[in-house]
Amino acid sequence: MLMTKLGDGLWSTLVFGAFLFGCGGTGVDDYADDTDFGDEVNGTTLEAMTVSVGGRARVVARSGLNLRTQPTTAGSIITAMPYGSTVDVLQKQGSWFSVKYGSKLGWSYGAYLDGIEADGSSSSGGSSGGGSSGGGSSGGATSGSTDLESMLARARSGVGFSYHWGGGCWSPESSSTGACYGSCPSCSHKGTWGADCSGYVAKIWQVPGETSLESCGHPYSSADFYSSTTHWSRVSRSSAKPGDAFVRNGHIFLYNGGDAWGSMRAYEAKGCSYGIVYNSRTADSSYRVIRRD
Amino acid sequence: MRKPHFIALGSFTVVLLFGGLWWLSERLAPETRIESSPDRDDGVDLSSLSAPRDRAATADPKNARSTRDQARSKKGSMGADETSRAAGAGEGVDAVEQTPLDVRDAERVEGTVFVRGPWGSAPGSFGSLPAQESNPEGPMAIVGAAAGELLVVDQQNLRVQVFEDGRVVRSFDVTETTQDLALTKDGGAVALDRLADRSVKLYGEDGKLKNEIPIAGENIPEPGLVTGVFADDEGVWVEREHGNTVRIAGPDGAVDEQRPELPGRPTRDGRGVVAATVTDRVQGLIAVTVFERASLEHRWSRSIEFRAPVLSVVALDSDRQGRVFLVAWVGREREVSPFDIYDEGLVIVCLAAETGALVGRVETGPLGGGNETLRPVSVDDAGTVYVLRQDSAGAEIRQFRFP
Repeated sequence: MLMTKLGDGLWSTLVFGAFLFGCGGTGVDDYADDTDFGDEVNGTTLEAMTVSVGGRARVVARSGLNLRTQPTTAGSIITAMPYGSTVDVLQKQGSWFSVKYGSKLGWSYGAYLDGIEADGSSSSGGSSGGGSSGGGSSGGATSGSTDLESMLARARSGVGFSYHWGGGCWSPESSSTGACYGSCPSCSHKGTWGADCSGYVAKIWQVPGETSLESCGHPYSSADFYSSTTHWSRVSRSSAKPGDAFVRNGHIFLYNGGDAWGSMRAYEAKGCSYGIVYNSRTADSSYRVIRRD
Repeated sequence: MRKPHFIALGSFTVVLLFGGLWWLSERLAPETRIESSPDRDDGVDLSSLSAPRDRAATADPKNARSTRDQARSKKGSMGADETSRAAGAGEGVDAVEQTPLDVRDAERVEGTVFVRGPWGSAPGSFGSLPAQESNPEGPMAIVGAAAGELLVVDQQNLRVQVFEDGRVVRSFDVTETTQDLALTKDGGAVALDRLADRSVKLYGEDGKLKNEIPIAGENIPEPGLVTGVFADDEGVWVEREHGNTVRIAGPDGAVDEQRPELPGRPTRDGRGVVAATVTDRVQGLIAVTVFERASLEHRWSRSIEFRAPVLSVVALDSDRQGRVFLVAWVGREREVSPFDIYDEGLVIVCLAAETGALVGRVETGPLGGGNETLRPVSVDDAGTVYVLRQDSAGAEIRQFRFP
């Protein structure tokens, strides 16, 4: 009798518990009304990151930033601006900025705004901007240094030049970018300058040693970059940073940071139809990450 | 002789009962604390407060939960200055509050095959470009249209193939460097060529080129960083690095000199704008926000918690009802060289249009294949999700449906 009661009780409890667990586990209803905002300033005096009145800024709060009617958390929320949104900065009051977001005017806390330079890059470090097309830009490109800025300068200077299978040279000052025709490796190339993916990265990285950009060498294939560690080391994808390269058998590109989705900004000699480009792209798990020693 | 058995069995049952209740209370405790604690998150990203997550915690969801709980406890014990420093290190004193929507239990499914075609140029086949010191490519994008209709950007064959119920019904020409596509209300299409021509081409219903709009200009300093093209009643939009979209042409296809912006992608019901961002890669958190299209008022935000670290967002789409579909690539990374990725998967999440409530979630295998894609997942009007996978033999598109 007792056993029957205990058994029934256990069964009922487990059934009820399973019901509770099911509801808590999926949480469909639990989150249905979860649209309020967090608001404590806690007397902080955090300073905005080089936000200039009259300029533009980007929202860097990863979960979004409130736009308010007043320069205080007591002000009503006009809307929430997602990470990466851009605003026009109109005036400053303490740690708050009056901003224009689309057609809306309001106030936002400055610690989560980052100034945007005229060329579209952020003012507070991070990745540098993209390359220009056709002949690239040459600032710092001819230096053989392997610091990040020098590597990125070399990468930028190559953007706009043609894809050249087996090639690896370009002249930052030249407007003659060359041209690729057909389907590589059976493609043809016209002109002096151009690179394929591995020739491009080898020159950016200056491996095996310092070499002029105009010197047309091709010391490594992507298979070499993938399988050996001669002048570079493998690192984890989660620790990738600008200046590293993503490589798989058959292709390699230079990584220059990522966006809000985890897509990558990449410099690459993409192929015959594209030439050398700066673009946002993805790379699946067949790619490894390597870093110049 | 029967009494000891009875006592033993009764005791065992009591142990089971209390054990079960203890287990349930442990399972429910974190959520209960969140709801009742005066020290709620208040918009602070807990990941910025917690120590780097060790591998054991990463591999075990229960440990992962414990890590997050520790972070909550740590936050609760902080003074104002500590909180400020933590916020300054990464996240929002006045940022939008997000309580994670848990999809760690997404069921693993395979979906059904919509179409499978070998590499080649015949109708129903797909063109590919192997990696030979260059970027490997197959179809770069797929685009859901009416229910059961899917367009495949088969750019290596210089065409877009239109499939209905798994069969090719027509095709039209595009350039080899086309990477994305959107359909216009008048039956035409717009094609993104961000790298070679650096333009968006507008095609009429007859497949003929009507206009070509340069991408570079106000609000788009670098065409290569455009991450998608969209078309709706108000015109043609391009997306800047998975953030804001910029209108480059009006509904008549004429160039828009003003280039206004939206804070995300237009939704297919014409009523919303949706944006997503990876808020904590290691903890597996992605935030989704929807705005009202007409007023740009905030409609809802959701933070979504996945079972493993987020490697990237793969898709953000919507159906004719305005339901939002988020697809994330999740997986783990080995700690030793060559740091291979393992335990990969694609998690597809469907959220209700008006509230962001969870409609459903499933997990399927990763894209794989090595070919670059710009839009490998798309949704049709009816909410069917299509996933493009490529391998050495060809390309396969599978369907996934939610209620």
